[in-house]
Amino acid sequence: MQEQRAIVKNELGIHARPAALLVQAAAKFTSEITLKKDGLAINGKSIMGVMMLAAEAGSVITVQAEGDDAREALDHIVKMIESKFD
Amino acid sequence: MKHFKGIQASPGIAIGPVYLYDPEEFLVDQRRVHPRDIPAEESRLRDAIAAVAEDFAATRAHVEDVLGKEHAQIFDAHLLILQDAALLDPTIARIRDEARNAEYAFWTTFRHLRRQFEAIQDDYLRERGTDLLGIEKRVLAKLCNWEKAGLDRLPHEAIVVARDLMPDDMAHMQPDRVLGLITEVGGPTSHAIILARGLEIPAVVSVVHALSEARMGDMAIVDGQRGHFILHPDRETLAHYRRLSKKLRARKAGLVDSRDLPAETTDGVRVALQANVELPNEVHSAMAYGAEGVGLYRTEYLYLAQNTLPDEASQVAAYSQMAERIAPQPLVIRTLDLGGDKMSHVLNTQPEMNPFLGLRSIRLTMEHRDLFKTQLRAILKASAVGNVKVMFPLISGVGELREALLVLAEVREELTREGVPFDDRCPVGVMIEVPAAALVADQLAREVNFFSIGTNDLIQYTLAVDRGNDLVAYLFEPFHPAVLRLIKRVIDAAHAQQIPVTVCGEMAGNPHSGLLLMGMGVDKLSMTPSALPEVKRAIRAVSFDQLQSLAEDVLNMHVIAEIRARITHAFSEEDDAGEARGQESVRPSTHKNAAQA
Repeated sequence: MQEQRAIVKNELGIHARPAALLVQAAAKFTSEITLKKDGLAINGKSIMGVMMLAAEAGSVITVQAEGDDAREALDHIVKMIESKFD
Repeated sequence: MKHFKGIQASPGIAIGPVYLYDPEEFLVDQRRVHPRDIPAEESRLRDAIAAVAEDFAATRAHVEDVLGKEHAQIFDAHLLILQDAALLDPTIARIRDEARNAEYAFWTTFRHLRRQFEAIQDDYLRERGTDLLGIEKRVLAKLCNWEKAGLDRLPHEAIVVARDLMPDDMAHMQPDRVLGLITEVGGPTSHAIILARGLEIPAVVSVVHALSEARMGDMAIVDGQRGHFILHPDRETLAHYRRLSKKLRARKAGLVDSRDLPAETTDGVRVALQANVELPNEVHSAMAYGAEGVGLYRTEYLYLAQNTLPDEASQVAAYSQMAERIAPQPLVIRTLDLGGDKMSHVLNTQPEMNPFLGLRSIRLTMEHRDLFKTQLRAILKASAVGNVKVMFPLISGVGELREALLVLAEVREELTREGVPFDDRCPVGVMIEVPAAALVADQLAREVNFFSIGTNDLIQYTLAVDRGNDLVAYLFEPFHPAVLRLIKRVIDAAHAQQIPVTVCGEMAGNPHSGLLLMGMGVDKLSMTPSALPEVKRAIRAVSFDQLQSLAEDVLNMHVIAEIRARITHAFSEEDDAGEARGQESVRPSTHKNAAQA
């Protein structure tokens, strides 16, 4: 399992639209993807889960990936979060 | 008769029976399912979810067509929820392990999810989360075979009264059945209301208690001109609105006649009539009403329509599209004119005691320089494809103006360095809406290519009156001598430097005040598109001589009532209904007639 930390940079945090983009991206990988924040761990392929993280601007998320494409998945998702989901 | 005051959201008059649109709470029954029926129960759930997903996909496509990609993206989140294991797995588990019926299992899952969402601290994220839970009802409706009486199946023509409207409510409605819209919550910039304006359906929002006071079938009136909602109108009111509505329709039908005629007095003096627009689809009506360009393009909707700041590309697309559509006529783009209070969803703005005197408009954009530069870059880029002018709002003096011009110069330099084409001589103007700016208009006139007087704010700031405050709204007075003097001063200062003056406030769109402004020397009048035909008709009926002597007389008067009488007298041959309406639209109603009667 690999993990990496990401800081949420968009001003409104991960609300519906970024959450949708994140989940859509996560779904493209076969690895299991988990996001953690404040002791809460959620499935990165679940939009409900991602919304429940309540990741406001400035919060730190730990992204974990486990599987064949774990490295790519991790890179992709961390980059997405840190580039404000552009 | 009951009279409600709300916020004017889409113009026009609607008269008809009320249709209460209130998707009810579901009473979900709880059943034990026989083990052999469990697979059937599971497929019932999957079928219902698939059906809702199909509806959403269709709505998404429709909204993308009408409003564009950005607006459609919210539906992606809904579609993802419908596929979400966090929703499906526990629901299926309840059906299988607890042998519950599908609707109860689904309802229970949602109850748990809702509780978790409600515990979120961040207000914004919590609200967005609970928004998404609205999908619950759609799935339950399918499961219970309960056909929601949506706006696509209104039994008859009606005024729809709702707590709030979702974009997909609007996307599916039959425009020919919906006469008007009333909502209790929601602002004039919500997606649903943007759609209503595009469809020319009169709408008033923020009408408190509308749902609890109105009943199905009640006779009602939506006054989208003034933002009123009237229940059980008496005969007199009904007759008044029938006349008004007929008049509006006739004016619309008759506009073609005058569309191609110039706005010229009987002695051959011309003034340019332009349109104030906000949304791309308003350009259609502006052109249909014969506007000679757009004198005020409000860009605020780009910042309010979504929860992120609009990027450069989307702004370039919006501005270019509009510039191209009206070229070779001019498009005057006003830079962001919002208070910090309206921007808290995208900027870390602090609440202010007095937002109208606070960090707003040009002050806000100078403070958030990146946002400002992005907008200026987009405006300049659009200047390559049309006749674009840029205008700064709320300027109060030369120092501030020069700072803004400096930012503009930086942006030009950047674009030149990047080799991006733009109109190097793109004219720059300032809005004169702060009394200080009017008083130093002679100084400002040396620095820019045009002035545009925003009379609404100029009146509010000059007379120290918040027109939205019922207690003092009666003091909001366009014909106050102080206001007229300031306007005259601005016109003279501009003409001394040979730059043109536009008036883009409500005074321009009212035939009486519009004509007075013309007599005072204004070069262009810019107004809401639907006001154009009437102002043009009024101009074509008088001589400029008459207007000049009217202006001269009025500027020497001391008392507002006297001024009004003089103006009314000057146009006494004008139609009486037009006069009554004219005064209504330029003067806000006093709290007396806005209160429940």
